[in-house]
Amino acid sequence: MSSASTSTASGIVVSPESDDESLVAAALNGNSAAFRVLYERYQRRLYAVAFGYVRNRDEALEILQETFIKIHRNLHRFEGNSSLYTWFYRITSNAAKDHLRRNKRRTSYEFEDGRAEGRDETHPVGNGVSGLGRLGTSSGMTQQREIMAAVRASLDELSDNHRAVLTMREFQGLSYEEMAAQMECSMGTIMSRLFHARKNLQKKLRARLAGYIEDFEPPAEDQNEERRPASVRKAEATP
Amino acid sequence: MSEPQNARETQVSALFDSELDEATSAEVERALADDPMLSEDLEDFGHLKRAIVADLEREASEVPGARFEQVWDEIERGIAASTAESVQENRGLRGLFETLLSGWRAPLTVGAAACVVAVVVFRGPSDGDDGGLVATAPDAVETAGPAAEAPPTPGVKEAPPAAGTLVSYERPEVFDGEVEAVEFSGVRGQILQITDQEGTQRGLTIWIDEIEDEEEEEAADGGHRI
Repeated sequence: MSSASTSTASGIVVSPESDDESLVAAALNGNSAAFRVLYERYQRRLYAVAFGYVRNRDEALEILQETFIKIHRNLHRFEGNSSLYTWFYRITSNAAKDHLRRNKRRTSYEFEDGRAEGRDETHPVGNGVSGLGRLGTSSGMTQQREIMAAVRASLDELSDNHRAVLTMREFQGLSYEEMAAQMECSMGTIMSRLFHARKNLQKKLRARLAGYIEDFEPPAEDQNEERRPASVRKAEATP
Repeated sequence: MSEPQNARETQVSALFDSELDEATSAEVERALADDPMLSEDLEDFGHLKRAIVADLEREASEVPGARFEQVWDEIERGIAASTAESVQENRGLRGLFETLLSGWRAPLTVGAAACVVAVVVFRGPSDGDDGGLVATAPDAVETAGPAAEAPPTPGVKEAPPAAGTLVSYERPEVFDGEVEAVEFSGVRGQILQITDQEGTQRGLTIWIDEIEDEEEEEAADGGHRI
């Protein structure tokens, strides 16, 4: 991408090093180079937010595009009460949520309480099976790749709502109050939804990464064998 | 998972996010000290957070720059379309104003016509002089637009520009009077009709009924000529 360097198109000089405030002022004066610098500055971070919601590259790029058109149209409404990136994040989140609403392609199942969620019978919480902290020895490149693939696959499997709360909280760093406002629900619901999203992700990861967890002793061998990736089974068979 | 256990784990999750009040935090921390499984959960939440952030950052870093460039092109197109839409809306508003002002159209049109006429004969109410004042413009006056540099001042004869030169006359102020006749290229005539050709460069067409000499004299004697 050709970087927008200096521009005097609107009489305001901007560069990739210009601060957000100057860029917004220049963009409002019709300086398209300034708006492009903003795009280049935030494109990947906002893309990551969008991807966190939809888990699909093309759709996330589409949301990014929609987001920046909205930003351009509403830039004059930015009052500076929050930081620019917070404002951008909010627009991206809204665009992503609208996108999901428009394209209800996934069956949105989720587990909001313990009974519905059920216990992970293969790795019951109370059976003493280690958590993800025991992945410490998995430092090889191949193992790292497999762990990342497992994380990705597990996140892909979550429901839209669970992914949304995890993205808002873990990546965007929103408070429960902000999340509740965005998701139009109570803070209690957010607290519960976030907990179940975490437990769900934890369960999926444990199933996928069982072979990497130190001192792991599967309680139900036959079931776990089915869940583990072939590469893990092979590694375990090798003395 | 029992209900109390579920509630406690939910609190651990909220403690991890620093969203509990002081009293509840202290209570949950005591429970953590007594229950290694809860502590493990708390530790896991940290791992999950790191895994989520790492996954999203990695995905964002893997998208080729060319894809973002394509998105930028689409954004530019979107902005252009949005701007065009906005202009279209303004045009719609202009149309509304035009409708509302339609009652004023005739006098305004006459006023606008004054900027393209070559000859304006004016006799004001206090002007006792019978003789009209005549200014002449070249053939090219037909292409003259409303954005003028210098208005044709009544009473001042302007030097004709070179043939073929595009001449612009300033839009005159509407004044008390009526344009009845115009003269250009040595022909004088009465205005029959003014039509607005919207969407064309020409804009206004002034239909003239040529005045014969006798009629001209008659008009000069009897009525007001502007």
